[in-house]
Amino acid sequence: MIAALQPPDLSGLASLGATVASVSALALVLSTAGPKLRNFREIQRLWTATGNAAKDGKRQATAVQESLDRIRTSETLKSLKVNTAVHELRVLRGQFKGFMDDLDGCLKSMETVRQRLSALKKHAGVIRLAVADFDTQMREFETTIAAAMPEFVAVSEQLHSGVFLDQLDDVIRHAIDAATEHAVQRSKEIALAKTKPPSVDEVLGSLDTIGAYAHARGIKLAGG
Amino acid sequence: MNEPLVVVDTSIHVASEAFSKKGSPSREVIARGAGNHFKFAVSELLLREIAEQLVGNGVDPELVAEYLANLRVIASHFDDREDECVVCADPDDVFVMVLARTAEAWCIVSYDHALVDENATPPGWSIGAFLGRLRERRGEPPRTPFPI
Repeated sequence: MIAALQPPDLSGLASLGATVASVSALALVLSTAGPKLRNFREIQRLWTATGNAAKDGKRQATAVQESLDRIRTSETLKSLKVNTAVHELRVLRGQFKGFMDDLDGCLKSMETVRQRLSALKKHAGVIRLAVADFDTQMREFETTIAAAMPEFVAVSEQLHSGVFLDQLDDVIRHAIDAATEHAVQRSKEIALAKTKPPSVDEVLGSLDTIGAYAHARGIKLAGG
Repeated sequence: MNEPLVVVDTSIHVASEAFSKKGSPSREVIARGAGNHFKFAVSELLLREIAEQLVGNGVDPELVAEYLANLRVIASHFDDREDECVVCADPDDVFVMVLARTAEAWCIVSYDHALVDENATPPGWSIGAFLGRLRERRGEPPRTPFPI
């Protein structure tokens, strides 16, 4: 079941770290010009947001990769002992969605910065008076964005093709079916082995055990 | 007085409050059923749906099996029938209404609006209406606290 899952290739994000470092450096340069030029401050804010989104994206990519590795190597899952499969897969799906959202936010922010920079060029004469090496900074800015965007777009397109999420949903569906079947069959065995009806406390105790399990793992139970 | 047969819908069994909130209505329903104030009417489809909802949220199937086993022991079992024709707002809930008719249940109790219908046979009651009528039937004063 798990072996059929084909995760997307996230290797293209290897340079994310370098991009983030570059973003941080540029944000620092711009911060010196910030108090003098409102447009620069706005761009700095956006650029910092881009950097944060990129950092989140990198973090999420790592989390997704770790979850995938854990699921691939998990003997419990391979042998279809489904005790934790559904929860693990749900966590992975949440991480993956979060990763996609971060990457989208990063791309959106990067595009906005690119547009603002174009608009800023109109006022280059004024800006040069405030920022001595404006032209150099501008070129570095544009080079960084030009280098980073195709990579981000490529990864984003790959993620948004939906193939991996569809596969993941199929695997979750199968895991739920297997876990349900397991619970139903086990309940028959346990019921047969009981020699007397459970007391009210025993019935509520079995509810409490589920509640404690869910609480400990941050599982939100539906309804009510 | 014989205990009435009641179909307690999945929405009550899997309500988050049942697992955490002492004295919550859904917990009281389950406790009263376990305490023979009424008899749970169940079918395999109903038990399977309860299991699916819980494991689907990520609960360990072994723990779900323990709760289901308790239900199996204290409940009356009825076969799921496919020859019964009922109309229900949600096709996924048809089996619950079929079970209630097969069991000639006193009522269905549910959080699901599609199943709450005073005029149906048997009637579908909200949890508040159900607990009120059960207390009345048992001759308990209204809002009698139940030790859960």
